[in-house]
Amino acid sequence: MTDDSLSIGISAPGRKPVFNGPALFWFVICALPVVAVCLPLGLFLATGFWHVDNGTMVPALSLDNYVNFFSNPTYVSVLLQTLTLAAEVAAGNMLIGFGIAYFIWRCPPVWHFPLLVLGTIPLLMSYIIKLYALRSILGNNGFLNQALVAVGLFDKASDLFLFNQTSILITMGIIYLPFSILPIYLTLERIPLSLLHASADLGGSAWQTFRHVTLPCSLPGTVVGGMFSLILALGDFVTPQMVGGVKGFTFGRLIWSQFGMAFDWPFGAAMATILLVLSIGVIVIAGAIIKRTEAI
Amino acid sequence: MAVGDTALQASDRDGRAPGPVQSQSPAGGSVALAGIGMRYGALRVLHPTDLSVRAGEFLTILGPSGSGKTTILKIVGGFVSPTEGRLLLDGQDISRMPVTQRPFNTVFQDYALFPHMTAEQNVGYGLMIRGRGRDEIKRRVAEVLSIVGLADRARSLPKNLSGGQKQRVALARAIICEPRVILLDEPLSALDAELRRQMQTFLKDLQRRIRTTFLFVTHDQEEAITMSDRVVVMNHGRIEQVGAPRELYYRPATEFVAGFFGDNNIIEGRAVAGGEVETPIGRLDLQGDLQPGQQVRLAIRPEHLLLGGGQSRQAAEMTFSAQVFDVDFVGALTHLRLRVGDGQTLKLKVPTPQLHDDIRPGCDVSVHWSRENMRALRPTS
Repeated sequence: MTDDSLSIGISAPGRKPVFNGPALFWFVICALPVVAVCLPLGLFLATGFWHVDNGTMVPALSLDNYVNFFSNPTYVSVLLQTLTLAAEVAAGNMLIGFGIAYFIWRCPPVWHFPLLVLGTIPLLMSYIIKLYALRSILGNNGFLNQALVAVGLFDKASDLFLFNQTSILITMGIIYLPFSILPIYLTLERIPLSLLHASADLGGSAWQTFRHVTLPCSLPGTVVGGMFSLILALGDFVTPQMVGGVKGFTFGRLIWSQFGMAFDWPFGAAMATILLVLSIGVIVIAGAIIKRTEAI
Repeated sequence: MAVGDTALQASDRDGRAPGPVQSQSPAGGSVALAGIGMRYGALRVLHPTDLSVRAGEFLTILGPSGSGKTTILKIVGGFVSPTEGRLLLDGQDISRMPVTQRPFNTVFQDYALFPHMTAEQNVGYGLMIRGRGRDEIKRRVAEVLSIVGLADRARSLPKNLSGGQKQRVALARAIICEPRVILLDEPLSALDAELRRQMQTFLKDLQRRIRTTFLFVTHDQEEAITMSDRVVVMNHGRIEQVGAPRELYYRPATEFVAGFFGDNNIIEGRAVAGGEVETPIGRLDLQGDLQPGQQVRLAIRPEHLLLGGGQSRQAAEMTFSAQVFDVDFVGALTHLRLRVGDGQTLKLKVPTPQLHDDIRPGCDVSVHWSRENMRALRPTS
């Protein structure tokens, strides 16, 4: 038995070469991402340099799609608008996510896990259900309007909250909030209690300790939390479609329209490439910020 | 209040009165625990305890983990509130004073340096919090960093400092605000043996130099003995004994203390009338006030046992004939084991040059010791 297992991978004299398990294993492990990720990605990057002629794709390489995109002010303004929107979602979720994560962290430890589950439970729900739920809350007869009228802040129901950029902002903010809460909570959780004790020991008030110790120490997770929301919001096209209406046009919808309506796949691929480069840019910037702040 | 009594007795035996002592120097504060106790629900971690820390002294609380030593430090520091009792600083009640206002600073076990701040920012934190001017902070930080010998690492982040250097930064951060008392929570436990010895000397010198009261917590008896003016030995949330290192070493009051400090010969016996104790090696006259019939354990240090007949045959000398059964050369000292009387084994430590060559296993010798070096131990509660 021991003899057999030792000879695996070595062709013993007088026997057929034994099946080489580890090599095949590593081949599959390496081949899978190549076939499943790199190949389609390469193909889609390449498609961005093709064009459509009479409803068929012509694989002739040119920069026309990119030139078209950047020379058309409408497209560029949609991109900038979407960038701004995603940045607003990220900023909002960093703030609110930090607040919630901080609250959970300051609660007695036995509550941490239940509260965290509560905060992230929306992740377990279907995306579509969340969207419809929010649509009915934000709509003209929705809960938000009814509440605002009942409190007396508004005279009558407003259509401020549905089918525009604001509704996209609110909806994406709510849907992506758990992605911001989690990393922020995790960095807060990693701060040793002794650091807070040391700050208090040296005379630091609660606010001073927060300002000089807690906040800087949790910055890496906060940046990651913001980055998650930003990238998710940047490429999302379902949410804008569902709650954005005509006024809520975003870059994700623009890309989708090229694939689903205009059938100009090369142009869609080129715009998707631009989105990819932007997302990578966000990750690189976030990484640089984290590297600067993370000292542990 | 049995524990409180213990502490008071220990202080009395020390020849000085318990309670706050007026400070000669303005630097060190005196701290007194009056019936301080701690309970988590049904769990008793510290029985009501009286203890006084004198101004400017280096007091070590020594004990195994779970003995309540760290609890005392946390209570003094203000990180936890005791369930009962009062805490006094120079005679004034500071039980309700929040941690941020106590004139104490702590050196934490894991150093607790702020990871995003350089060494000098860490050291200057306390002054920055107090709103001191930039120039003053800079001057004081440079001053304190040079005291701890780290002037050249001022701009390093903690992650780029060695364990010993982090230790010094933590120390510098704790002394810069000139606290009345410095609390040290097992600060040397993460260092290797050589560095630890250096830091022991350094800490002791520093304490003499800045004349602040040091309240030091450790589980290392050697550390406690070498550094402290006085040591408090704790076990199971109670004080076992308080005293100078030599006193604890040579006059342990309880079995626990005797067992905690290195080697001891323990002789079991039973008290008979007239202050004598019946033991396997014969009757010993201890001249103590022991109840006849009481079980007694006697302790004597191996280095207090001397070979040969007593030179001056006084009543205080006890001499016995014995048989050598083990000779163990360990360098400057030779360890001997003797069999005395009815199956009693005694350990001896003899300076090697004073040992005759003809002493080897199997030979008969006589051994003697002075009565005053022998202690009857109180059983540990």
